[in-house]
Amino acid sequence: MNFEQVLGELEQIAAKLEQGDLTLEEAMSLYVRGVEALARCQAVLAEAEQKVELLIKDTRKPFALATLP
Amino acid sequence: MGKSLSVSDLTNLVRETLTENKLLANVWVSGEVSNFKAHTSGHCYFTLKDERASMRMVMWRSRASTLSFRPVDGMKVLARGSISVYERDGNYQLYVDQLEPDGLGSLYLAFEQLKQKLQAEGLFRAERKRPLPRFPRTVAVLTSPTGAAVRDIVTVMQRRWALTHVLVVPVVVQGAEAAPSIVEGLTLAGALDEVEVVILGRGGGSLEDLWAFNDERVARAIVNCRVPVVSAVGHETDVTIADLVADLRAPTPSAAAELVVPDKQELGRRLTQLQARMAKGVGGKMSSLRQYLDYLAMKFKAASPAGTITARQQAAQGLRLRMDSAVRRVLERSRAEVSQQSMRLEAMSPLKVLARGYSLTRLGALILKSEQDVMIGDTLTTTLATGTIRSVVTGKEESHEF
Repeated sequence: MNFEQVLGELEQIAAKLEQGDLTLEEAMSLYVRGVEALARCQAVLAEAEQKVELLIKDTRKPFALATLP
Repeated sequence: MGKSLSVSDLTNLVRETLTENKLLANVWVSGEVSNFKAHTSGHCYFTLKDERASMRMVMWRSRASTLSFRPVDGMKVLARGSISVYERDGNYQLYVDQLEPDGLGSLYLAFEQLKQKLQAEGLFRAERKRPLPRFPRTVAVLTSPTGAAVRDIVTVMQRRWALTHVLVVPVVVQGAEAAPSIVEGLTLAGALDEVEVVILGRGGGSLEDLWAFNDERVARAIVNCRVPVVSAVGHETDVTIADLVADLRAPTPSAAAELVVPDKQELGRRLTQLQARMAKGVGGKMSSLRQYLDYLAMKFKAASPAGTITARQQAAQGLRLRMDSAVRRVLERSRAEVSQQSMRLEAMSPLKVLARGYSLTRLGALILKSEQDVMIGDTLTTTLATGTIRSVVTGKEESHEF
């Protein structure tokens, strides 16, 4: 799953939990899933490092701002 | 003599001939304004002329009200409109739809003509514009690889959203090669599956500098690009054709980057909110269950036999205490009685009496109480405190003292 899907799942879980018409078991297992999804999102945000490439015709090479004049 | 036409019919025929001509139905003409009159009705009337000719111009109020400048006699202008005949005077004149100062010359005219053409095709319509992906995997940045625009875009992307892969597609943004180069870049970027949005940008410049962004080939390449295109020509005052056909127009390259990728900080806050919402949801569930359990516990407590048992135990304890003390009282009373009796017994003991000097005299088993009990010669036994005396009765007499 990509970030967008995980975030979407998280939003659904939060909405379901807010509705409150769940059994305790359902609420707890949803909550556990939500906390896991949350941790995944936060980890992705914390660790992501941008990849910047220069595309010329069909070849790519890394592109760094520092090389700019 | 052949058949003659009425003046009206002939005028009508001339009018029809003129209005049927496609070129005359929408034409740009340049010239110098003279005899300009703004009527109180709002309509404007003037003549446009050059060295050799002049022509009547009418601009209806609805059009004249959109004028961004005030035309004055002697001013060079570009007028766009349609030719028709004013039948009463037998004049042909241009009904002006648009009037622009001619300072910008042919570039401006070309821009206006292309704009009008593409607008007629519906290419600027909002319904045609495609929405941007919320979290684009890859963004292609079409710009000069050495300009400020690419630096601004990459910097903003890095700050806001490192998850997006940035693919810089170098294009020429100025001069004659610019338009074909941009078209090629758009084709290249659009052909890559991973690319989900294109930013086409450059820093600001003069109208001439930005000219490639007003090129029809570029405009059509933007429209035909497989993914949404965000225009980012750093020039807020002049809108380019590229801006008009792009799916989204950003005022500057930095702004384009901000529109294309989400903000990490904002998303972090959103995650915190989601966390709070989930915790509140579960917490609410838990606390309502806990309240229910408390309520049940209270009901059970009220119904439990524990109270009765305690009461009975207390009653039993009371009874035991009462019983104990009653028994104790009886015992004490008995004990006191016994000791009193034994004291009395002791006091009545004949030995005590004997010790005081009294004695007990018996005849056989009979304890003597009267001289009548014995006869002279009887052997009597007298018990004293310390021993016994045996004696024989030698005489007896009745006592008269008592």
